[in-house]
Amino acid sequence: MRIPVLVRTLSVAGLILSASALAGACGDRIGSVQTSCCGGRTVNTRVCIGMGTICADGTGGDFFCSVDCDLFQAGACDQAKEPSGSGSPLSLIEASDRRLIADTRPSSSAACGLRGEKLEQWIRTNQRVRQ
Amino acid sequence: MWFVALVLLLGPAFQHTPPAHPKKSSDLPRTTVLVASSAKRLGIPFFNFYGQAKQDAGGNVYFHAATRRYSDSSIIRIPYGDSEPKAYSLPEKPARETAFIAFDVAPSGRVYVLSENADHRSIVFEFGGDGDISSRTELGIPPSARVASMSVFEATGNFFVLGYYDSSAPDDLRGKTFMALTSPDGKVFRDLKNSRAIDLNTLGEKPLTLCSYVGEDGNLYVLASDEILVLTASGDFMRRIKLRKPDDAALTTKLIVSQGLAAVWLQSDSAVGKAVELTLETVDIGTGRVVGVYSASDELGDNAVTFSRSEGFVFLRNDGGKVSLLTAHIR
Repeated sequence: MRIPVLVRTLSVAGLILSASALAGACGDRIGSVQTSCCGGRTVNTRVCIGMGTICADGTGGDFFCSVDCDLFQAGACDQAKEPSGSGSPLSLIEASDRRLIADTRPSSSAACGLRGEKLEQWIRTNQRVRQ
Repeated sequence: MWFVALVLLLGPAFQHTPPAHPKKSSDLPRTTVLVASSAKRLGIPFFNFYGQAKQDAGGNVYFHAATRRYSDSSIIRIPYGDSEPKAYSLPEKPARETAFIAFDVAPSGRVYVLSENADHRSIVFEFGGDGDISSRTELGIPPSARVASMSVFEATGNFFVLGYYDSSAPDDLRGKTFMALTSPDGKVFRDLKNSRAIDLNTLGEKPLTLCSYVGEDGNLYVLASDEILVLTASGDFMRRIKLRKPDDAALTTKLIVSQGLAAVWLQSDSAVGKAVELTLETVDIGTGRVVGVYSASDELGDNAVTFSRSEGFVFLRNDGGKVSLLTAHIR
């Protein structure tokens, strides 16, 4: 199985935080691909599905979907690039056969749509309060 | 005997290998560019979502919200009318102990989330209209069967699950497609085995072309890469509708059947992390004839979320940070 290697770095310091996050290391559930809506566009995103998808370095298997979306939105919403409202800025480097090099910053811009933590906050405010 | 016949009938349905050289069907209708016939801007902030949207009989649209974790079972309902949006989430304990796999929405608007626990057991949570969980059902499917799509028969409470056996399955099942019907209590009463397999080695490269839909006629429609299978609610094979696509390499990602017309979502075979090019096709499920092939105007965008024969396609747009629903008639 050809699985890309993603190396997550903190772009500000250029420091590698997580040496690598192999999709194949995400427990025993390997990533699949599905389309997602990122900033209003339909994008192919890769996800690891299931409870067994926590990677050895502690990143969730669904890390990849966010990565793909971030990469896309970095291109689609350049004007919206700003210091992250929901997490650290990311640099993403993919292995040699399918390299993606991008400095992406999860954006809170309206043009990119709510997602991540901000979407969770919105959901909570629109949800019945349960005991 | 029925089993052997079913194997033979369903066998070719899940061949996953596209032709080496994409070719175009020449006898299809010309592609029509859809334009907006109406637009409705909602006071709802635009949000991202995972996978394909679902719809109920009232035209409300449901999304798996793109929260921080794909495994969160958070569903957002966007109203067709003027009511408020609604969010469905699991309570803290089941949310912590399960991971989202798939969801479906019954015509009445009841939401069903299929999740799995740490033991890879499949569990269906049903949400009532008030947003509370009204039932929890563990499906009796093997842990090595990876579900990609679930459909609910609201009239009977039965579930249809569609997926494949993963690498942990026995040799004779590994990579084979998996289809089963369960009763409301989760017991499998029909295992629709077939002999075909998907390529486990390409799972991380392309979207799975496995999708199912329960029609208004009560029949089950299963979308494969090159055809639609029609089954009765009890799993009996009815017929096969061969798909003819503008581009044979296009991936089939979604199916809705409305008043005798099947709408098929086709997408370009693009790389992960890239935007996809959307083509829509309508097929007469009685004759198999392709009725229309459509692309969307720039105004509509590429997020076609629902379809009905009477209304056409509904697109979701990001209109200055707010959700906008645009309807495009197909006539």
